[in-house]
Amino acid sequence: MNDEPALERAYRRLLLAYPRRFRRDRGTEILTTLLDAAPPGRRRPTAWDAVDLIVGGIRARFLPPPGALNAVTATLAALLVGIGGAAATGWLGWQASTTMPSAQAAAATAHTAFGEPATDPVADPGDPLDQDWLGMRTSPGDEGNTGPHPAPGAVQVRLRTGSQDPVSVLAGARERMVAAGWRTDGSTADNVFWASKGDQVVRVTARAGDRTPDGGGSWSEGDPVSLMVSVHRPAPGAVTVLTLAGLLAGAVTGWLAAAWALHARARHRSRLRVATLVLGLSSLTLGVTTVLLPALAGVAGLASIDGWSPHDSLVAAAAVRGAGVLAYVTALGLAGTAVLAVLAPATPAPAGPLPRAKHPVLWLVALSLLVAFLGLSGQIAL
Amino acid sequence: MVGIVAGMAMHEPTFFILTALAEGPQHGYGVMQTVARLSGDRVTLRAGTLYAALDRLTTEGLLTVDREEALQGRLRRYYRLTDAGSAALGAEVVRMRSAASMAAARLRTHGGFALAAGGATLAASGLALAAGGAA
Repeated sequence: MNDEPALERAYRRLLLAYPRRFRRDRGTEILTTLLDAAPPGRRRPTAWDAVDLIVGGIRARFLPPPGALNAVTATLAALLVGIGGAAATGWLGWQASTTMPSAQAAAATAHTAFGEPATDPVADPGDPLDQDWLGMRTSPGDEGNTGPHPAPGAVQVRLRTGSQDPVSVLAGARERMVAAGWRTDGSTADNVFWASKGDQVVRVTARAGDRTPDGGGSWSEGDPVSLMVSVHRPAPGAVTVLTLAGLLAGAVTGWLAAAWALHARARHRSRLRVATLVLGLSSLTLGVTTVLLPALAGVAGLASIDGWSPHDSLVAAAAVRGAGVLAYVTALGLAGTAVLAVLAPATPAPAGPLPRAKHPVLWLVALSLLVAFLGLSGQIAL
Repeated sequence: MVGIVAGMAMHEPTFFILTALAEGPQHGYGVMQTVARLSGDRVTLRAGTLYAALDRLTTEGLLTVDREEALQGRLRRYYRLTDAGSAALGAEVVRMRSAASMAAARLRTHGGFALAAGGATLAASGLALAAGGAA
């Protein structure tokens, strides 16, 4: 037993590591125990006591209750909300960036490539969330584009030439662009090359036929050659940074929210405790099957492609859009779980054996499987 | 899954806290002292660890607050085992006992094997067993 005021102050400071609720419920009690345990004359806490209290405070603040199931739940919540955060910031960042060249700028570039004024530019905004586009990065790569990765949207301009020889038409275009200061890339194919300069990445093709930028006409051997210029802007690099920031912020939020909700759930009386578990677990299962797994599959697909385009960071947003309405259902379910957690009483449920449902684990597993099944079939149907 | 959980060993601090409270209600410092005494000073519970465990065991319904003594800005809460807590400790005792007798039985079989293999080994393992028993 120790009545040293300096020691008490030091212990009180260390107890600040704990969340306020914990301090309110337990602060005086722990302080009493600490002072009881301190030998007479001690003026400062031992280093081990300090470490123990700080670790205890961090655990109480940031860790879910002990148990493998709780750890898995918090991890899945962190991943899922992280993907949600990455999708949101990536998409907003993309929307806020300029990813399409102006028709005038594109026509000026085409003028250079054609060696004569270009007419009728056609803007195709593309779909940045198109899963195919995310994977199609290999084909520009195969075409030897070593410049910036293009955003999918492009302004296309076509010139019908009188020539029958695509190779010489393309060589002429390349010469004119190099002369104008464009950096052109070595191409492995003889009907296409890529060029970049300033804020434009351009794909130039020459092929026989009267195919138009808007998809009319057709390619056909023996016809005069059409020279086609697709003017892109580089995929905005800031989107990668924003996506990573969203991923991190979402993961931290998901983890903390899950840890908090799991603690709150433990304070509920039996019926609400089960309700929180069922809603939380089924929302999480739905989110994992419809959003998280497709997102991870997308990331795995990107990992098999060389290099990184800022456009690739939209893989999270593409997964969320792929989940469609089920992504909203997941978000609603998680929000509902949070509401149930907020409703938890401030003090734990009265002790004693809780009235338990029959085989709770079995029917929870069954319910989760049912939700997962509904989620998957719903996704296929959509 | 239920089977795995039921078969899992209790953490040692948990075991000692429940054992300490099996004697009767105690406050935090009392639990610390009893656990140190019961474990021969091997398990030292510090306040942060102790209260994390008490909190968890209370939430799990194994412990409950017996009474409180508030005096001059100090608060001593006395905890006691609930029926569920006694049952959990009892189950752990049964598990430990069966694990111990299983190990002992296998050790005897091993000793029998050593007997057949050679007298010197038997003497050595017999000595080791005797030393282990004395320790």
